[in-house]
Amino acid sequence: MTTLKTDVYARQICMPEIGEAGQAILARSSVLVIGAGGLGSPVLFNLAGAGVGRIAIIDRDVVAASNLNRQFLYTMADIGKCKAAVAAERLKAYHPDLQVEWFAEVLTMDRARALIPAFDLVVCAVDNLKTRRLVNQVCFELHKRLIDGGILGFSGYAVALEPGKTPCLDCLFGLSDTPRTPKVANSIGATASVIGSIEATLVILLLLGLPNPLAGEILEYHGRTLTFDRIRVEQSAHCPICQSE
Amino acid sequence: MTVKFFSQFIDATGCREFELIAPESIEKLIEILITQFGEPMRQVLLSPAGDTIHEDAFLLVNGRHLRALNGFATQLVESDIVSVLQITEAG
Ligand SMILES: [Zn+2]
Repeated sequence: MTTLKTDVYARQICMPEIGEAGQAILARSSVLVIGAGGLGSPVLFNLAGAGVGRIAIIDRDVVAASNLNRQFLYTMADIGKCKAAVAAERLKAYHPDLQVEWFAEVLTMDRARALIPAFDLVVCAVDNLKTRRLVNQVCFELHKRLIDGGILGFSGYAVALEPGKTPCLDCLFGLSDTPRTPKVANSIGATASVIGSIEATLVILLLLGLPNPLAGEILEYHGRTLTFDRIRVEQSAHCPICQSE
Repeated sequence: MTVKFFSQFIDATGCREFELIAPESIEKLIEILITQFGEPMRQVLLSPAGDTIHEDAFLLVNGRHLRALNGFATQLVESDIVSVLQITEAG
């Protein structure tokens, strides 16, 4: 590791959980981040900052003014630009050694099955249940670890799913094909930052081989009372996703 | 038994936990919760028609989703913990 790189990561290499060996693991790691919005912003900055070697970003949207209260990857000058491209450029400026790929597209089942095998871990930072359901199904098919989070207003959740060890998102949320009423998702940047930072923490812990602190649990965050709570979740007896692996 | 509230259900009830003698089913529990916490609870817990759980809410009985149990007819016993959550799906 060069002196400059050592300097960049000095404050975490001296952590007993990381050290030179852990930093090398992070540098060799690859993460697919689905969604570069309110959650994706802190997830991506934190993973790039930690020295994860390869990151891919999928987001089909362009930057809108209404994103800028919480999506800190972007500035006013980015309005109308492709989020995935701008995010990749910003991360590259932040850490030039980062290998970053971007895809401005809707994630389909076929695309997910083609992309996901190339990564150590997947982060879901999306704004709808339909995409979560798709990502959950493919990750469990391919035995790929999945970190998911969601927010609304002052509240949010995070989960760390490991096929073969934990229940899947379907068990947690009872996901179904039933169409949902479209609605404007409200939230503040601070909530997105809390949940996105927790998702990034989970990624780093799992990449380092440290125990999953949320195995089989949902972490619930309630910002109005600044409280966290955990709920143990059991695998559904007939779950079509995680019982058919 | 214990009912635990999360996210907007904390806001709707002003509390995080509610202890009660276990009613026979989830359907009865929902009636009790609406009687206890009124219209704000009905609005976030039930669909507008009142015949299903609201599309933005979900219930876990001892960590198992209601869909994987017996829906409204799910039987309850004194040792049960029912978690009442909001789907916080934004990103
Ligand atoms: Zn499952």
